[in-house]
Amino acid sequence: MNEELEKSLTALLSELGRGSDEVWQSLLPAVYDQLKGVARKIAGPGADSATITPTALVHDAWAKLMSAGKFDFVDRHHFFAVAAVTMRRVLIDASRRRAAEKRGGDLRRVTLADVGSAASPVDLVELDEALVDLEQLSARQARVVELRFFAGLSVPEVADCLGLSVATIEADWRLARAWLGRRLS
Amino acid sequence: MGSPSEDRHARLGRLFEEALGLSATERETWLAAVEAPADLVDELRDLLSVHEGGVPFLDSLADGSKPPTLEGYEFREVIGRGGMGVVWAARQTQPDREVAIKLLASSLVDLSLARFRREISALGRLEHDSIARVYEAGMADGRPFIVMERVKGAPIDEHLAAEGQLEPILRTFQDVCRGVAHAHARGIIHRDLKPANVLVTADGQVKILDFGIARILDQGDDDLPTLQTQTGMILGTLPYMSPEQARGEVAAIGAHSDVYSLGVMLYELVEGRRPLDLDDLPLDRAITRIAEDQPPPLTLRGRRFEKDLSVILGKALAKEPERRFETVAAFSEDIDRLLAAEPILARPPSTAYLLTRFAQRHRVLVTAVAFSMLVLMAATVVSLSFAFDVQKANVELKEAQENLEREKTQAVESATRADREARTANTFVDFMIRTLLEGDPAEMEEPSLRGAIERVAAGVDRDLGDQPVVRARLHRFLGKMFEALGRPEQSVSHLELAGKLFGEYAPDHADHLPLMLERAHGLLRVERLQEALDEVDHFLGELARLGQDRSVDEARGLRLRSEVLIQFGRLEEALAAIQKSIALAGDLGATDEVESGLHTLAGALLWLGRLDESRAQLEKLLAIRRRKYSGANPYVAEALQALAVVICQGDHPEESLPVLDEALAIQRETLGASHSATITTLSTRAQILGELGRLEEALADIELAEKLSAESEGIDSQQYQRCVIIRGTFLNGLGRADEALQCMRGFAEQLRDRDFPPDLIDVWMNLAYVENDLGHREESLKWLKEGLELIRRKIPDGVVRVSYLSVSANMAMKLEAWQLAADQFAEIEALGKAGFRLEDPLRRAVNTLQEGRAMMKLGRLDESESLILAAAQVLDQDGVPRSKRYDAIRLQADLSRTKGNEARARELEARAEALPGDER
Repeated sequence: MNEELEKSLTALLSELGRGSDEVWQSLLPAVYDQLKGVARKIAGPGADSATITPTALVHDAWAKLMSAGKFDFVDRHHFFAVAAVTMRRVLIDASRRRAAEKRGGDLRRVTLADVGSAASPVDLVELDEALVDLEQLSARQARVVELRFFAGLSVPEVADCLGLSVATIEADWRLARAWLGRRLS
Repeated sequence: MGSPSEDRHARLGRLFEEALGLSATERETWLAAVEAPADLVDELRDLLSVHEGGVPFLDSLADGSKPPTLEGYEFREVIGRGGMGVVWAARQTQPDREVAIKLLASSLVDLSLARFRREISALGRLEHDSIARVYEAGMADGRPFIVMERVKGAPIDEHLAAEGQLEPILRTFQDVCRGVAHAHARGIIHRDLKPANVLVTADGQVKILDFGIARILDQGDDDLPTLQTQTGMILGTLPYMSPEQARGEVAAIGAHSDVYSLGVMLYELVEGRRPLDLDDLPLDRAITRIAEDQPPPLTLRGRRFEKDLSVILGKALAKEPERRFETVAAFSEDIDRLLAAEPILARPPSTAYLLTRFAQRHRVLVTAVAFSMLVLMAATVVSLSFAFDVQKANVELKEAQENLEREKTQAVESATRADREARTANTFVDFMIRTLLEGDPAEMEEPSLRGAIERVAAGVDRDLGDQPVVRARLHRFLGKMFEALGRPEQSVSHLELAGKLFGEYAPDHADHLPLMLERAHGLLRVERLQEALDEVDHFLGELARLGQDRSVDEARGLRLRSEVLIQFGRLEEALAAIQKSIALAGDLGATDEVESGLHTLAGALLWLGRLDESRAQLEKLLAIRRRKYSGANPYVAEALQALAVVICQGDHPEESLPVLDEALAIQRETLGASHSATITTLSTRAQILGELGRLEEALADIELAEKLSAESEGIDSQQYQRCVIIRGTFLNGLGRADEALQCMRGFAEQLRDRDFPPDLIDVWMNLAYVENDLGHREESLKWLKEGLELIRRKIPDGVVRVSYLSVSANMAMKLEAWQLAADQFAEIEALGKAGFRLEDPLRRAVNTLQEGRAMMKLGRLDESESLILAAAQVLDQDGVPRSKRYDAIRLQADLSRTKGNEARARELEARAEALPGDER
């Protein structure tokens, strides 16, 4: 983690803090925390050492969030949705970039070890492509995966976020999970 | 309806759900019979098998979508989530109870399981109503988990958000304290106390969550090695973090850190905002603010406990751990006292302590004599502007006389209502007038005046029981009289009583407003600074509210504010305030006030190190006062003394002596020998004489000052204690080392077991100095090392620490403890890189030079050379005092000689000797 990056992260955080209302003030730590949790799972210890570090990951995500959305988020839910998309984009970009750097510029893929159980590695770029396809079949299910996977939300939180019942989201998640599992196996 | 593929997918989903509702055998039958295209059924079969087999990367990454397998628990739902893990609600089967299970991030795997279990089992032994229980811990699916009591409640701040009364807040808070104290008694520190971790259940039971968990996480999670990478966590926790935590000083974290966090919580609960506003701040600024900024005073005006609570919070929120309550229990006991309306034990910080925060600017360093001068000087410069003089007493007495006559009339009027009591009052007032006010007070002998006033003081509440307003005015009068007699403690207690009575019975009384300013001034005199600042701000606020700003009163208030700020070390603010005050007084043509303002301005400039400007202001003031008052006058003495203090900071301290002598003579004549202002002048003169090597005279002065301050202020007073220290150094200087040692050792032993202001660490430095003089090198080293230990413990990273380290490093040089010295210089340098630098470039260069000398002695010649050359670039210049320049050149010569360049060494030596000046 280099100093420059830390500094700009701090600056970004404070910029976000400024000019935002109280909801934001209370939301930010939670959101950041959450994204950091996601980042650490994906890029934390045990992950391919050549991949982006968790802090850098979150930093990138914040940077993108800031440049893209500014403060036009409708509410907390909207913010999480955007955050999820952003995290996804950052992760995939990082993955691609690392691949390119590491393998001399071609686009072969890097695998990230699954940290939690050290089980089968997942290819983030493949996951991304699978999600694009899933979106064609059910945009909502793709959204659910995105929120769960990239923003680290729980099923009730996703339900809250999308304004749907927990049962619906659970069903969505079950199918999307199986569908992606099949697709990526 | 969507596209065909969407429709197909939707259908797949419905069938999938239907299948999942069936048992394994039913499902086979169902799949065989389902009416759907073959490819769809095939895909459905695949999906079902994937579903059963699990999707590891999604399940683990979408944290907690699948509960871990853990025998004896039924997992329900995710109830919390953070960077460190997920919290599940679950039901334990045996015993049958609701639990919360915290599944920690897998990076904790690095932590040995045995140790993890051991830590948790210690937490499990915490049994207290206010603490959520920890039941069990272990590993599930390769991740550590902790099973805890399930608490259904609201965070304490939400729970109390609508609470308008202070008392219920304090009572609930006391429950929190009891829980924390229980854990502390068992050696467990929470480390992350914040409202989110303190829940209150529906029936009002407090439950503290996550006791001791923060420590386990710190140890286990190597993704959190630095402050920066913890940003996410810190954001939620930072406002409640103690300065030592915010700075990442893990070793310094202890029970006192929890005391601080509790202090922040309580402040927030009663005030509705946190003590420090960290919003909008970048992390580094936020941390600096936690480490340095004083919280604004409480604003709960009019509430019953306001002042005491403010003091208690001030103590809990002290920047230095050792200045906080030693235990949560002590914190809690003071709140008990507050609730029981008993006097609290917490005291606001003393001036001596506050001064050390910026004393480095002016410490006349390294000689063991000069150390405590500044404390005395600051007291002089600031507090004397209110010093008593006869003219002032006359005015006071005349005012009082008029007031008393009015009281008498009122008492007579009220006789119809309460005849007997009123007659008592009438008699009493008559008595006062007779004993005190008849005749010319200027001609009265002080002892009889004081005795009479004390008799009056004893009778006020006894004899005027139910006439609060009369009592209020009498207390105010007594407060002013005691102030005039140089008894600030007694003065303040009367002024406070008066304020309380006015506040309760006659808030709009004409005396109430001026009383506020008098009380603020009294509080400043007795070094209750935060209260003084609160009071003066309150006063200024009231002025504005009543439309009486832009008046002499406002100028006075601003000046007092500036004086308090000086004592706080907030010098730039102080300067701004006093300039505003002087300008205002000037516009209004209030010359007395302008004079007082000049005095304060000079004080601020002195502390800012702007000696020439300070001196110019004082000379101007002195000229004005000499013109204005003829003969001996305390105001002239005041200006003289301040001028002497500034002069002795300069290059010719001896020039301050005649100035000081004149001041002393005037003070003795007009104030008396035992007035605290006179004693201060005396000990200042002693120290200057000591500096000049006239030790016999110095000793005589300091012995007298010590005796007088013991008599008039007591042996607990700072003035007395400093006299003892100074006497020790003089005795030593006179070769009476045994007496000196005895004097200082006794003092150090006495201090060792007590909470003492960091500046008294000087005692240790002096002991090191004296022992060394006696040739007791080992003893000297012992004191030095002990002193160094105290510095490390008591003085946080900062410029003050740099200043102390400079002293101790130079002492180590004297002891030829080269490595010890080099280490300290290295620390000074490191602190410098962290932004804590001595302001005076010459002093910095002298340190560098000494470091170079240490390196040379250690044989590290290359490092030595670069240090010495760097120092010489600053020191070997025209305009630098000769001694420093001489040292710089001589050391270069020594270095050249060590390196075998004898010719160069001689050349340099010749140049050193040829320096202009007559000192050597």
